[in-house]
Amino acid sequence: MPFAPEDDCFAIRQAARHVSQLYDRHLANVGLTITQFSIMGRIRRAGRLTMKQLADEMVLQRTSLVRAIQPLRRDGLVFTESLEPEQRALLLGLTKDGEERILAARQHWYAAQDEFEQRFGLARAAALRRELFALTQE
Amino acid sequence: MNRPISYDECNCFALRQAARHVTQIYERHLGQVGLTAAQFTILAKLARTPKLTMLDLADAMVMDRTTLVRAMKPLQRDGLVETESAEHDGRTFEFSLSKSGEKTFDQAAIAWRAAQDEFEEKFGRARAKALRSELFDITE
Repeated sequence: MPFAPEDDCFAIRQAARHVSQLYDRHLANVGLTITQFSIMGRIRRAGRLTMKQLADEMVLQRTSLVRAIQPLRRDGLVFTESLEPEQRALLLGLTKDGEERILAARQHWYAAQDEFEQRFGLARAAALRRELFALTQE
Repeated sequence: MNRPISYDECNCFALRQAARHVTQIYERHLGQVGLTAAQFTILAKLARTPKLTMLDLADAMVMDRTTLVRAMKPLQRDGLVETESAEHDGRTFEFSLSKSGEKTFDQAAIAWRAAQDEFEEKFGRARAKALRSELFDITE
């Protein structure tokens, strides 16, 4: 019996934390968290992104985003450049090391995905994702 | 292996995005009593079971220690949660609700109900129940 069996918010947050831990465990092989993997994937796709675009796209608070990006900058995976003349808007891009890291991270993402789906069921996971995306879009 | 990964197929992304979306609804309501969703869960847990250690709480909530400590700080600062040394071990701290913590929790429970109603009216009550059961199956 879960501790708050009626609470929709608790149910989804707990499941998200649990599954994040699983993906984090695999991505730790390349020194990334799932949040960082997701951030880098988005930057890679867009080429360049501002902090605000990224925060909006990921429905993440700016502080959480800054916290996740700091180690990526420190390790030289993500670079920032300021947009003249608006110095405050920072553009984010992937360095060459960042490109290599995210390519190396992929197989670990697949391993995490496989571990989850083998336990939970492939079709069941697909049905759950559909419900979750429907929920977000409503 | 080298085909691009689509966000639609990532279980983790689906869960995290939905969690953020639902959290925003609940925090809009819980914010009226100055609580986040994580803080509400902590108070609810302590209301039911007093004298819990950080480790008990982290386990019960599947929360890592840093996130838990960050959520706890304002609760301690505002005097909603009280700390005492465990009887068996002076280095271990146990947390319980203070009187004002109990009062805040009662108000928060009303805000939580409103959030839950808002979500379930939109998403459907039976559908929400089925979703919860799937979600708890992941963590059990």
